[in-house]
Amino acid sequence: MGTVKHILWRSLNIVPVLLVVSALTFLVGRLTPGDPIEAQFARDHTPEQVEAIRASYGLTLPLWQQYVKWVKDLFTAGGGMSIVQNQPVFDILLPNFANTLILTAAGVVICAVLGVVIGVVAGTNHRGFLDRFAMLFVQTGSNLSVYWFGLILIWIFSLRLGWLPASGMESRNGGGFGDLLAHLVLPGLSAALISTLVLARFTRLGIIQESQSDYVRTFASQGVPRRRLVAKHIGRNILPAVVNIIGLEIGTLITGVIFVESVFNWPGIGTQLVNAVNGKDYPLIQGGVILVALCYLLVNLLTDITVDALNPRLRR
Amino acid sequence: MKFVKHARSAVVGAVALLTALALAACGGGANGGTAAGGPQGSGTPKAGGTLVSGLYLEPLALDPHRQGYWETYRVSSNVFEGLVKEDLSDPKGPTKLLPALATDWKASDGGKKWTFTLRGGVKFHDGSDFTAESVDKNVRRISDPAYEFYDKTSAARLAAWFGDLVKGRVVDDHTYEFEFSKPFLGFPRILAQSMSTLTIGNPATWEKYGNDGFADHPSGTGPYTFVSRTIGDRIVLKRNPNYWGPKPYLDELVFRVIPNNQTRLATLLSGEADIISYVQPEDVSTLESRGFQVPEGHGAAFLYFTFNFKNKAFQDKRVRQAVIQGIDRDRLAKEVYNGNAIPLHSLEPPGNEAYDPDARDFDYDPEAAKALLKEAGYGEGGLSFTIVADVANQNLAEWLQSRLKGIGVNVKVVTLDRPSYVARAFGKPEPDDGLSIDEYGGSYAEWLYQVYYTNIAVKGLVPADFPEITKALDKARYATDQDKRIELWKEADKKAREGAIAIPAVSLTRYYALGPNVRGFVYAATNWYDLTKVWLAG
Repeated sequence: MGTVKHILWRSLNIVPVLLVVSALTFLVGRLTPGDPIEAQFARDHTPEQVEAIRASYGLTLPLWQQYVKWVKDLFTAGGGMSIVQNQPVFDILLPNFANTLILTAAGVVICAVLGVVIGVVAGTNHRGFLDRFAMLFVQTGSNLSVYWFGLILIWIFSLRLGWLPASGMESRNGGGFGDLLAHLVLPGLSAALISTLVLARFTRLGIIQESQSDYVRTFASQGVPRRRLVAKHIGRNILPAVVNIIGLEIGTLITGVIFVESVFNWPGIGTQLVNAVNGKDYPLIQGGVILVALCYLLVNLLTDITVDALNPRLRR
Repeated sequence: MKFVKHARSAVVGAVALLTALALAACGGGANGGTAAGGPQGSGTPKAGGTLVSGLYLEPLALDPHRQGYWETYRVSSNVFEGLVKEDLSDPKGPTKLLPALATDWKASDGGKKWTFTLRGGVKFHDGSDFTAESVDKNVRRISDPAYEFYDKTSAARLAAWFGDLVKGRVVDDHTYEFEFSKPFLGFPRILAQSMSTLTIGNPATWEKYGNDGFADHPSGTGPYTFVSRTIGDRIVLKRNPNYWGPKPYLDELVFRVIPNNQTRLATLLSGEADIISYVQPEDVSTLESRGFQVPEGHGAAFLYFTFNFKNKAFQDKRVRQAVIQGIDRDRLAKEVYNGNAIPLHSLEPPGNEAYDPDARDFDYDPEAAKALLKEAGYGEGGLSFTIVADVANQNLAEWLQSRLKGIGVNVKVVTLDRPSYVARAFGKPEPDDGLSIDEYGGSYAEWLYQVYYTNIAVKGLVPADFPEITKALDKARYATDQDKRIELWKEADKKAREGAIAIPAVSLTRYYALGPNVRGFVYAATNWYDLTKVWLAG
């Protein structure tokens, strides 16, 4: 009973956070220089003509009226009309949002598997050759720019080796699940890069710290095999922390995917949002941010619930 | 136990990846994967196939009266047609005007009245007939507030050329008449343009889906029909079996939106696209060495720099002229664009009907520039200003900065994202702003009028302060003698050059890149292309 109440309470918390996010996104758009009409029309229309176009989109109304109208549109009019594309915002975003989730999911899988594996190998070989090598890899990788890393991957695996496609999510003549996987490898790796390394570091540290704790020393002195110790006892103890980090990293991944999408031309909302920002398409930017924020909050909520469930000390 | 074993194999995988990275980073030379270019002869055109085109930006709404950006028109010109079109098989220009939905047109009443004979037997994509009534509904959508489907935003977008329209009139089923309050001899050329003009959409579509719904169901008379669009991904068109004109070769056109320059290039190189726009000058040699085609030519566009007339320094003609004389445009074309650009000295770019290759404003002369600056009260290091540019033009801005140092001018460079750039250059410049960099142009001579009253005037030039230019522009815009029209525009351009009101810079000569097996493509001397003559070999 207590747990259900707890989850409900946490879910309710999402509402005020979303409200604040919506107001902030709205204001950031309006208070920074540039507006969608000027960006599109200033170069071939006189200021009077630009103003007439602006008025035709209701952009000359007082700010609070525009905000109220937009919040209403979020619920009733598909997030309002995109100014640049003349289509309801969610009609534009939702089909591609699924693609973003696919890429994020691939990133999460790669991050979870690679990150834990690297961390465990390094942690169990503390100060050994594998540890040093893994840490060199982690150090170098953490300083790579995702953008650059993505381009290098394209250059090697698409252009030089010709193994994998350079962009998009399906081949010219379409293709099935295998085709999708082939398109996922490079962007998935780029998206997961930073998070994988963060997770590897945490996992390694967790293992090293746990290895030095008293119970481990006691077990070891009683002859419990090292592998069993790591798998059964240390692993069990650092699991909640690892899940917590993965949860946090999913948030990072969702936002990071936006850059990766633009490098690999992945047809997700990242590509759309970059375009929207370039055209300062207010409703599209706002709708996109709300969508990403909502995901972030939901993932955090799920992580909290999972971590609670995995940690016996938090059970009542 | 298993856990650790798996962990080991994954580490081996990671090491392999790292090694691959290291090896690849060391490896040089490029003869990988891509097919070598076949013989460039035309061969016998072959019908069928899908052409994938990589666009550098997301097209805007596929609505004949709301479209903007050439990339939009490179897609939509396959769906919608105008009454008149340009000859897109001409790489030199100025392109001839050809009949499209109108077979014939003539002016009367000193250029105030235009009568168009419309093509018979043309059908919209939904099978309905194209008649004078269809033209009338298009005209009313952009000009008649009493029409149920009057579209305010379209009207505002088209006001630049249709502001003087008194009325449109159906004469008979296949004759339509426009009446303007002032002479408008440039009208047919304007009708053949892409933006802010009267391209013909299917009125049944907006009557069914509303003005905002049109772009979801674009319908016209063109050689291709709309299949689907995913914003941020692609637009798919298929051949219109009932097209009135010569049948296009390709079955399907796919336009993928690939804004990232490197990714767009990689997509072409890996064979996932057949044609891309906006090739970067530094990529031309890579492409050619791998057998890809990068046709030489020019559009009707150019880069130019405009002055911030709100900055007091630039209200002095001597200062503006000095800056022009301080820039070596031949060198600019070579150094910033690897020689893939034509240096320009006039505001009517190549491809424009009033382009004059011999026109000169002020030649490069650093000594004269310094002398002029001194005369205007700015000795060595006395003049400082900021160049404001879109991030895409950062190289160019920095090149200008280093060159202007040569005439003793201190320049600061500020680069901004697109909306912030437009807001600052076109809206509220800082007091120290001096130059901004734009890229635009058109094949119509009226372009000069447009650039003067928008790009240049919006940056603080007061037309009344330049009566010679203003008068010459009006004379050309409202000319009444067709034979003198182009001469009048050239005259106006000369006045603009003498006034040193802007700095024409360069026009790019490489813009599209094509896969080795693409045939029949022409880099037309305007800002879009004709895909109906394109076919795929092999």
